[in-house]
Amino acid sequence: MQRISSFQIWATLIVMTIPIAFLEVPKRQLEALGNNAWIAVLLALPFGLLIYAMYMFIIHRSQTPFPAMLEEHFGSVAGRLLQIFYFVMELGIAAFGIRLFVEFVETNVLPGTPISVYIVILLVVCFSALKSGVQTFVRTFEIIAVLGLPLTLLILALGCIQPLNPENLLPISNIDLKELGIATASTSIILSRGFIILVLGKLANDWQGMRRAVIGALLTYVFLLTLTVMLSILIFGASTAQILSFPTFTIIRNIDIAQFIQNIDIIFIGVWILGMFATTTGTWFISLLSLQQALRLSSYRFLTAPTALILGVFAIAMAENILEVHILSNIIIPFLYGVVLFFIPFLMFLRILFASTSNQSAKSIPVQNMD
Amino acid sequence: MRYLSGKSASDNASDPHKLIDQDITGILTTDQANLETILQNCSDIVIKPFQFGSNPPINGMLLYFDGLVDRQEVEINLLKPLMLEMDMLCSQNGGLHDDVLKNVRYRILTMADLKTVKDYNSICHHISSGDTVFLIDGIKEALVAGTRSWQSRGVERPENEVVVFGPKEAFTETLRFNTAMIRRRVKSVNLKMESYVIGRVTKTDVVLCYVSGITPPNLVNEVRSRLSSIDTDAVLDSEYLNSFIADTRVTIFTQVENTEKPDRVCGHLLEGRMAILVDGSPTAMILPISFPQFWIASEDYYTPFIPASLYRMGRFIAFLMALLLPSIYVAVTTYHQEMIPTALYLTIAATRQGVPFPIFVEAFLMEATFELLREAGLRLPRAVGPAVSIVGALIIGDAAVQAGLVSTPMVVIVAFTGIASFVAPNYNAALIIRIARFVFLIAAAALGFMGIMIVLILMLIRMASLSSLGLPYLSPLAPFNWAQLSDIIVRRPWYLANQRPYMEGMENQARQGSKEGQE
Repeated sequence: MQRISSFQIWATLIVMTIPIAFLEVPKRQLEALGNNAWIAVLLALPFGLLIYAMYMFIIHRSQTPFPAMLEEHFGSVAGRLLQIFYFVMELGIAAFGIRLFVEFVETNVLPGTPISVYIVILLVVCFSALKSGVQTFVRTFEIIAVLGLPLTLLILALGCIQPLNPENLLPISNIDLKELGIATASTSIILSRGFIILVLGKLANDWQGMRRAVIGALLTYVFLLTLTVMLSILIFGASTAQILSFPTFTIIRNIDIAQFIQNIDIIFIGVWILGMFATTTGTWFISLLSLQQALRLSSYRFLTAPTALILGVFAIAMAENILEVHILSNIIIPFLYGVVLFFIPFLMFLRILFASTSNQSAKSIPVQNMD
Repeated sequence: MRYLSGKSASDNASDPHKLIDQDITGILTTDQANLETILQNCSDIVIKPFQFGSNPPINGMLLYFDGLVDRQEVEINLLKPLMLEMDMLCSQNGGLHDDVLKNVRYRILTMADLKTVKDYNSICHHISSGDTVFLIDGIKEALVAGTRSWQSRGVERPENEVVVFGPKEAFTETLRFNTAMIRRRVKSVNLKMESYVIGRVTKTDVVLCYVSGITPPNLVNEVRSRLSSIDTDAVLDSEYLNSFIADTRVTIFTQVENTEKPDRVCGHLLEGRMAILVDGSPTAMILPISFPQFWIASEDYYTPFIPASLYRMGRFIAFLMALLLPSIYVAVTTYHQEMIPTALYLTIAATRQGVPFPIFVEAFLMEATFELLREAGLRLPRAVGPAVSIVGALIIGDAAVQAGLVSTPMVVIVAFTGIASFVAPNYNAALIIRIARFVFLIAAAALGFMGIMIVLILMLIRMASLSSLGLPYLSPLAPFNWAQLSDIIVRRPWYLANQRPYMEGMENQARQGSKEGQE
């Protein structure tokens, strides 16, 4: 089995969390907290640390990677049922990611093209990555992170040279604690998409390096999202920013350098497409591994083609229109993230903490071939 | 059974394909007859029977291909000692008595390159390679004398890797000259050159070069095994071997680097890579190689590191331009017009007035025409090639604009792209760009920036899945290694280049500043 470097772990966490967060987080926080939205993003740092500490603890105390660790900690029957559950849920999360992306492209980039075209294109790309194996797509994630992050920072830096009004951040004292809690939770829960380290963690070749990578990814997430939310407030003011559909893209669309470089949001969208590809591939990969482990299959790769069909149909059928997608995004998906990416791992964490698992039982679980 | 098979012993004796596998009989008349049968219809073979020595005289025979040997050397260093000095030796000793071959080899012939063979197959291989074979009556072995010499091109300047500074020698078609050019630069006994003969018909000499103690032994073993397993009729160029030893065979991304510069080969050898030289080919094949390496010119190391680094970064920008500029133009003008400032957009729109084609068709036609002109410029005789391509580009471009078939900005874009693609220091890398550019163009026409990104992801996935002898094709970008990547983005000054690029299994990574690296 091939090893994964700490940098690859960092890159995977970055591409699994940040692209989707750009779309979901600023809007949600601005609606909830107005000019104090950035505080909720900053507060995601300690919560994110706790989530990742929990994941790291699970990896450290498990002898098998996810999804085999479900059997290790919950027993064979419950574990395999959970693996099936994860297969369906992760496929659902991947389908939602695709649909969200497609709706965005349909409304902001290329209106008029049937969404099925975009879905097929995205599926073909992710399919190609999954068929090439874990090493290949993790390397692709690295390149996306290496290319995408500096470009994103550059674009946000360009956003900073727009007229900014620091008064828009005030007053800080006027915070609704309930809204702050909800907003912080919704920012933190996106971090649980870093769940993929439960799968890749056992392949990491350097435990200390992995810890640094996880903390680095968390800090990058918080920094970028805080900067984005603050820029939205500083440029537009809370009341205007609240009514924007995608504040991140509006900031970038607003950039104008020497009246020559303008409307460069499409460049950011290009980078963001790279990220969305990575997010979908990672989620789909977890889904396939879960099914492979539950059915004791020798490889996950041949499952890619049939599940691509399911994923495509699922992505189209899950919502009638963009309004339904937004309802899903605001109500169903955070709940789904909470259960699949946080609650079940939390149960696993408690089980490891308070109940002992015999080494023998872990050794008897066949671990899936990830190559 | 012989009757049933319909073949007699005499048939076997006259069948050259069967005879060639037999051993030398030691009866000179039989050996001569057999060799004449094997070499029938080879008008350039020279078979010279003669007698040498005395008390009694011994029958011998020389065998070589005309045009492949140095005749003067055959006459002065082979025939003359045998026919004159042998007589003196015989008269002193009262004949040769026994061990004629030993006496000839160690007491008579002054040539250094002598060896013995025992079968017709080896004889044929050696004479085909330019050696002279000497058979003696009564002895079941033949003596092979290295007399290779043929008309060949001298060492000239490289045609495809032109440099302003640094060595200007290029490989030739003669393997020995090429190995000598490498050995002259790396004067170390650790420079190993392993010989292989590949090709059932061509029996081409192939040399695997590496520096023992630097090149990872596992890689050397892997290449040895891949070379040994090649079973083909002919190897006429190093590229023939590429398709056999590449990790992935069906791809546009070449996994070896071809170079015609010996200094570049030496640079790679000292970084732990290997080179394969093929007789008859003026290019060496270097492996393992990663894609970013294609953008490093040998000249970078012969200029001060600051300008070299700037040029190198410029080359990376040129790479992106050559790959993406036409597709970005098509995407922006077709789908994302809001990105273009109004004044510029109006200018573009004005120049496109009356152009009957969509921008994509216009771009595709211009790119295809440019590629045709470039290809024609390469194939035409050297005296007229550049003139035709320049005149063609100027006249066709101007005529197309005048006729309203293409717009002026499109000519500018295609010209920029063409110039940028010439910046690639490696021809194979330029070829990849030329092919991929058309794919990007089609994707941009279909889906704008999104199409470009989709093709980019597919290309990255494909490249990330490749390896060259196990070395990831995109390293040091993926897997990411900042220390090595920084050395690719900028040219590190020599005093800081203490480490060789890391390769798994490398025994000695210290390039300087450490006793470890010393022999």
